[in-house]
Amino acid sequence: MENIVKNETRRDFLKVSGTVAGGLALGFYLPSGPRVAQADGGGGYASPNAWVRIGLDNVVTIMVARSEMGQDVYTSMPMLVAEELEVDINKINVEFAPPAEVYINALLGGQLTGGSTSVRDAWEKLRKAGASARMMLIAAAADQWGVAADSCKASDGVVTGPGGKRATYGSLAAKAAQMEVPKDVPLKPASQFKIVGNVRQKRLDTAAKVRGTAQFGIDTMIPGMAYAAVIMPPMIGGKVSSYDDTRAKNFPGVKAVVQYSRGIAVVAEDYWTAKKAVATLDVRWDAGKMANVDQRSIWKGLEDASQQPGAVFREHGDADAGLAAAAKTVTSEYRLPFVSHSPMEPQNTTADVRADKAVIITPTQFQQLIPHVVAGATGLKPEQVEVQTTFLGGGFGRRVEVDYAIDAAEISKAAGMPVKMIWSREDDMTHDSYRPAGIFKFTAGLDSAGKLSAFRFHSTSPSISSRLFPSIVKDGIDPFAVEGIDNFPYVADGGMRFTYQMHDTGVTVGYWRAVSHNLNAVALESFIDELATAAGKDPIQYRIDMLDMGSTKHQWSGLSAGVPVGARMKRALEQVREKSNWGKKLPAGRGQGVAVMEGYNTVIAMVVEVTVSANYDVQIDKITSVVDAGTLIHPDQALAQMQSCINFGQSACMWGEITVKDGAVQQNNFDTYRVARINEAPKELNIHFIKSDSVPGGLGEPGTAVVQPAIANAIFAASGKRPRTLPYTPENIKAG
Amino acid sequence: MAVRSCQTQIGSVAGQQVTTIEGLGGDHRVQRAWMALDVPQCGYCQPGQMMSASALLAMNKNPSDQDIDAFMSGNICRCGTYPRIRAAIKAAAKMS
Repeated sequence: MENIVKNETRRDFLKVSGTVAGGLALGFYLPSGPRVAQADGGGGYASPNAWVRIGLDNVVTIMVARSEMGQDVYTSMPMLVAEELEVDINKINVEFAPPAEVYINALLGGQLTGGSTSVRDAWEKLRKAGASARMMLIAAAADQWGVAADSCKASDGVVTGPGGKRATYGSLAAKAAQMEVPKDVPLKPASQFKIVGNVRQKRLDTAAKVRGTAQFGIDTMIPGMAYAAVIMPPMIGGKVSSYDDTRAKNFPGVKAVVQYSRGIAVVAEDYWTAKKAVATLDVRWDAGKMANVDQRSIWKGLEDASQQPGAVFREHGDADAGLAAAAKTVTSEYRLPFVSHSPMEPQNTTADVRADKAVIITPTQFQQLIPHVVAGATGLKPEQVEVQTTFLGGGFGRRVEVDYAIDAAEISKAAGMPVKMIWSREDDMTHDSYRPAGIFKFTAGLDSAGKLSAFRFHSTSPSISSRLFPSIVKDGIDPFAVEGIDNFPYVADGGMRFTYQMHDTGVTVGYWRAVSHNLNAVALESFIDELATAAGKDPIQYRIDMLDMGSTKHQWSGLSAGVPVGARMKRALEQVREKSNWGKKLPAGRGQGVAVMEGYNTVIAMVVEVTVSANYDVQIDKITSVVDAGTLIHPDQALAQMQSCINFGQSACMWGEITVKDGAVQQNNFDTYRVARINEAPKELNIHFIKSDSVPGGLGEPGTAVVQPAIANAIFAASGKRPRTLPYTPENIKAG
Repeated sequence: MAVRSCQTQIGSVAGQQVTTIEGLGGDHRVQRAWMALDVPQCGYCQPGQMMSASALLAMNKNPSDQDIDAFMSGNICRCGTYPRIRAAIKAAAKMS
């Protein structure tokens, strides 16, 4: 994502420079301005660097530069700082950081939260930020006492020195901020961790979320604020042709009716009035290019495109010759539909756009982009746009998009007042950026022993990055469209070829939790099960026997390039076989299915047990998973992310399907777009993490993909039917 | 009785007593159990989950998994906190 424009916004005190430490950008406040700043409302503080503020009252604030959408960055990232800063993690304050260059995610090239990168990017960087601040506090104390720095020690927010000398961080903060920034910042070995890996550590945001005081975007209140409800074209890419707002304008409490780029907004003194008034608008739409698009035309388009050769993204030997020489070939095709993000908090933004500045308060995963797009929409300069990130009521990739922030800014500007724009559930579900649909074709050659000898894969799906980050799309390959299979972990000595055919269906597509792992790995791990069946082998042993133990992963996006995965997969599969009691006797109608995947530098093996009724209704009885995610920073929340991924993947593969008719999305709420309820959650869920001291892997996403083929394979084991079209509805299972 | 505020018109509860998450007081056993088990992820649905859970416990002192599933299935969580919600309701049932 190297094309992301660098952010130039600064707060006055936030003068940053970038130095490089250990290959990661580590930024510090420049000494040019005062580094002792007065915080709003009194209580001064000093900042040794961009992540740490030490209050003169000894209260330590740690800045979190990623968006908290459930995945625990609010706790896990400060844990990394606190580990080296030597402060009590449970006594710190946390603040969400504004957009600034220093906070750029080195793995993604922008200040955004996604790609299961937060902890991976932070792992060294934030510990170094904590250690560097601690060293500056010690240096300040040593200087003050006239002793050597190495005769002093920091612990629990206090520096101690020879002869019983003692000073709190708060008393040293102002001086510490003036000390030289250390160049060499050694880090603790894992054996000395007190905070990182603490299994009893609680989330720092739980109390606020349990007491109802956590501020989501939708809770935002600013002085003079009005509420905006909107109506947007039902057809994807449609436009307002004309409208009659006579009734809406005359509604008591309505302040303005404004047209903005995408639709029409009613701005009123309260949300209910705005919502009622917007329903009275009589709008004529220009349906645009999607007017005649429906499911049939979308799938016809994908089918036709899938006849094209596509672009090769991985090749080894001669796959065609290998297939011709095979003792047996197996061919299969999988189809996956569009699915919706639908986080519980509908999209919203509070915008106050004035002639010379704008304030945007929003639940976003991509705060860095907002000043630029709001500047573009309002005529302001990016540095005139202040962005405040709230808690996110779910993200899942939807909030990487900044569309709703642009809309709110346009509405505020047109109405001439601060507004909180709130989408309804219906607005949200019908104006999502959907997980791409696609067709996934496989041909495998097996030798006389049933072993994989040649492999051919051809996928056809829309490219997300072509819209959002076009510069990373090269030679017909979107790296985010081939993940989950570009790291194909099995050996096929006779040759393999992997191709991708890009095809735009007109439906807006976006990054959806685990992105194309949900396409490629779901299809692949189902197909591998087909091969095991064709070879008459046990699905776990068959995978283990075929793993490529020598190779390193081939990852286009470079997020975890070069990490050998064969051995990690083998270990995870062996452990899940044992822990799931794999192969145990089950009554008729029940079955176990397995899947394994590497994604985001995390390896997950999973066994799902299901019951399939005579009508092909599926109940998930038990899930056992073994996860190798390297070092766990906050183990209980690593577990929570696996629980979360399983739920999200289950919803998608069991019921998730967005369909289009006359260019419009047909599902608009949870009655037509079904997601898992508590009664559908697995009855038993056993997640085991492999103890490891290697670098952390990502956990926010990969489980979402793995659970889906594991469910499909369990359905096959239970019913003899293999669903190749998702979701796994009774109709699609029956057709398998 | 627990109702969802996003689906309830204020006129329909005229003259009745309404308790919201703030009304649980912060130290309600459901809230204590939720904190002890770190139930919330994004947290957005959790006030609703806790209001339903407190309504369930008000009429069923010791709910089974089936009772919990039946009573709580109207509250959607997209983060997948369901296993912890089940455990937290059982933990709350044991608290005074």
